[in-house]
Amino acid sequence: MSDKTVILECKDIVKKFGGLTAVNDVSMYANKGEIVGLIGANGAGKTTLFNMIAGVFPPTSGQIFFEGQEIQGKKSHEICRMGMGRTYQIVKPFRNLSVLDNTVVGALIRDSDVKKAKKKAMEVLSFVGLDHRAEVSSGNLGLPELKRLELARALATDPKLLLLDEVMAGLNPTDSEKVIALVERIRNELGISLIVIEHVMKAIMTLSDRIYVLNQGNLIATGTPQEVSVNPEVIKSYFGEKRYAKN
Amino acid sequence: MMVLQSFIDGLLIGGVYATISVGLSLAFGVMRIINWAQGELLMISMYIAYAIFMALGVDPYLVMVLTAVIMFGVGYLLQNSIISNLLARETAREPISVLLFTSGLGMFLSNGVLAVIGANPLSVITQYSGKMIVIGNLYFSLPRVISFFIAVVVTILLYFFIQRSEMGRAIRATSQNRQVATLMGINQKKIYNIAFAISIALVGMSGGLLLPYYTVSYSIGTTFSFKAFVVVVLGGKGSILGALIGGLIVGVIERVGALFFSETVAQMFVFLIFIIVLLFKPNGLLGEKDLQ
Amino acid sequence: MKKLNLKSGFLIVISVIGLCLPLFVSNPYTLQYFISMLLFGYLATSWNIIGGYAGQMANGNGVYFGIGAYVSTCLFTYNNLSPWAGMLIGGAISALVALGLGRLTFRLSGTYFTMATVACLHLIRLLVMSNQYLFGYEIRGAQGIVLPWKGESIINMQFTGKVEYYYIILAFFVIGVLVSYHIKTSKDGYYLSAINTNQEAASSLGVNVMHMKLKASCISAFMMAIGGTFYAQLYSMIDPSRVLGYDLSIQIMLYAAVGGRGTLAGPIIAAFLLSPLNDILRGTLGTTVSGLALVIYGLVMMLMVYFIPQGLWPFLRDKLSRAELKAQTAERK
Repeated sequence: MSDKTVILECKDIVKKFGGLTAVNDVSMYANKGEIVGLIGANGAGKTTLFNMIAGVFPPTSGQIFFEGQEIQGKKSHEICRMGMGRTYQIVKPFRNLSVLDNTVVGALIRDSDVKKAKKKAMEVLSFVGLDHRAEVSSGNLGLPELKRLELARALATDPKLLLLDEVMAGLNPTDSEKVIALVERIRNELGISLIVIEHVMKAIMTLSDRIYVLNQGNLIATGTPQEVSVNPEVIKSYFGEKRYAKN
Repeated sequence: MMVLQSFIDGLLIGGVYATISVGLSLAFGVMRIINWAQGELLMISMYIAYAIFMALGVDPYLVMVLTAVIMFGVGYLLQNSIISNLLARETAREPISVLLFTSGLGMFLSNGVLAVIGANPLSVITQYSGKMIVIGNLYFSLPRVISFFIAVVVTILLYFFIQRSEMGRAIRATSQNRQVATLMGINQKKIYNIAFAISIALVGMSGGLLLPYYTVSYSIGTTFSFKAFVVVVLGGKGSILGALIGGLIVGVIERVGALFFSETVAQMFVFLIFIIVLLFKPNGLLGEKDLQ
Repeated sequence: MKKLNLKSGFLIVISVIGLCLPLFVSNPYTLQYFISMLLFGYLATSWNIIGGYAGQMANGNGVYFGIGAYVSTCLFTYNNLSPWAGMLIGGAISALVALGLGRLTFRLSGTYFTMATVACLHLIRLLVMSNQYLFGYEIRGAQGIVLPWKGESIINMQFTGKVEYYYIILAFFVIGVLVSYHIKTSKDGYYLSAINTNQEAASSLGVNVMHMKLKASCISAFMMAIGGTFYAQLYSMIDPSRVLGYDLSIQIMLYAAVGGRGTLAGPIIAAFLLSPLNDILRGTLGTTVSGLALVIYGLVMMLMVYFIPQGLWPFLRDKLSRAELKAQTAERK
């Protein structure tokens, strides 16, 4: 950690919904320029954790630091303004708006001038490869394009950190490959740090510098992809389950 | 003594507010729609009850049953042939087209009655009119007492119907999760039809209950709609017992408030309650619990 | 470029007609039709900011119209204050009420907001109806206030003819449309339509949802209130059943919904097409069949919502652009 700076840090995060503990005492961090993977079975608390980081709801207890500033309890729009973007597992396009206008909504946070925001949005769209669809209504896009649109909108807000919630879910292997390449370019060319939730194992293993494994709200392992993949507890709780499910 | 008299008078009218609101709340809880013509449908029910009473001259509480049956049919048809189609094209959680449609319907009905029947208020004299129950120094108008008991009993029966019966189970399942309910083999459209028909039948019943002692005119709809909203918010949307309690509370506030201040001030208290509930207990006194 | 010229040409023609209309229409009764067209076009445009752009169904938005009418009328009648100043005060009070209602209900689901606006409308109507005096002003309950004649002047906004009223409401209308256009094409417009479709996504893209809804609600309320002042000056009398009626609120919402919520032109087109109906029916049938126009409105609303849910203007625009596309492809062949 010597020459690396931490961009996001979660300390002892707990989230309870009524009697149910969705996230139990999770601590994690992400460095600048890192791609951090977050894995776990359904209901492990990954999206809940994302929602707390992104300000959808506050944690029951614990602290979240973004670039050294405490952000738990801040609202989504404030956190976005500070430089954190996110995508949703279930895509949420503004269906009455065109692809370009969807992206403009994101770009407007940095520049209130619509013309400039449009220009910025076009750049982002060509970065994710949607520029040829700019004028199409987002209601007419297919899933692979909608996932790209989610990315484009979040990128348009000029984030320093991007939270990706299963951007590959529901995509075929070819489309997934493209998204993997795109995510790598986001880090390498734009210098944006990423935390990635993913179910597609191959994707997360190739992409991530480090991985956190959640199981029923608890953090059960952390380390490089290799370390995690040989961790017996992970194999038992996660890979075991997967294998079992496959058979 | 006056206070006690007003308090009980409030409970008596509150029972009828409850049945009107239970219908509204049921449709809100199950279908996520608010019927903005609820008050106007009540007004129509009263005219229907009036017409039946004048034509057949039978007991007003038999008239009430007939009106409820007719309005059940009206509700079923309305949902089955129109609202279901509106819902089918909407993805929003609280469909705006239904709001617009029922607002238009309310405007159509109240002004239609004004144009056809006119602005003169109507009332009936039944064999119950003017009869009083006297307990000590307290006097209660018999039709109000009967209305109250019928309203409360029907509301409680409905509660048990929703909680215990097979159909009630399906209604609750649908209100929780449409997709899952559909997967479980529940016919969503049928459930909606029945839930909405029950909702309107309750309004029909309330119309029959009010007729023996309440004057009907084309414009009473909005007042009742307003009270029904307050009751639904007070009781918690989708909550049947909540609507019952909410209805009684609104009735009592109205009567007791009117005793100490004036009718208007009492109405303002009702509105104030509405605001306070929104501020501190937006899920209402009972929330959505008993439907879910 | 060709399309743009067509559009601006159309706008110029409309503006010339609008400006010169009183030269051709000398009959004050006929001019009255145009005045109410413009008034309702203005009101529907105001409603559209909260109900259309922001998608918050303010069914009881007419309450601000009533507040505007009563505030400026009281100040004019009893304090001798010019309605021009009174309308600003009425607008400010309306915006404050909107702020309060919004703060209370915007964090809940949309239905609560709708209910709260309707409840507020009923409350204020009751309040006005059953009080002879309110805040020290003699408002005369259900009877209403007749505005005293203080002499024909711009400052008093009182005129013997209709022409002046026509130009005033034309100016309000144009300003209203410009405000609406500015909102629609600026950052606010993007944010409002994002909120209209998906609040959670909007919020994650940096949109302060609460702030934007409050802003839209306050602007809409302010504009409605100004319409109320104009109404009071035009008819020289107000009463609660007219300016605080539920039907008026629904009527305004209806124009916007039938024309196309969230579009700039839709509410105006529908108001222009439908509002003369009210006056014409009243003119021909008098009070023999009261409420007939509203019966028709109710019917139109139901039919439109059922058959053309997106509204008249988006429907026509869609047809037009399709026809244009067809013509273009035919030309190429």
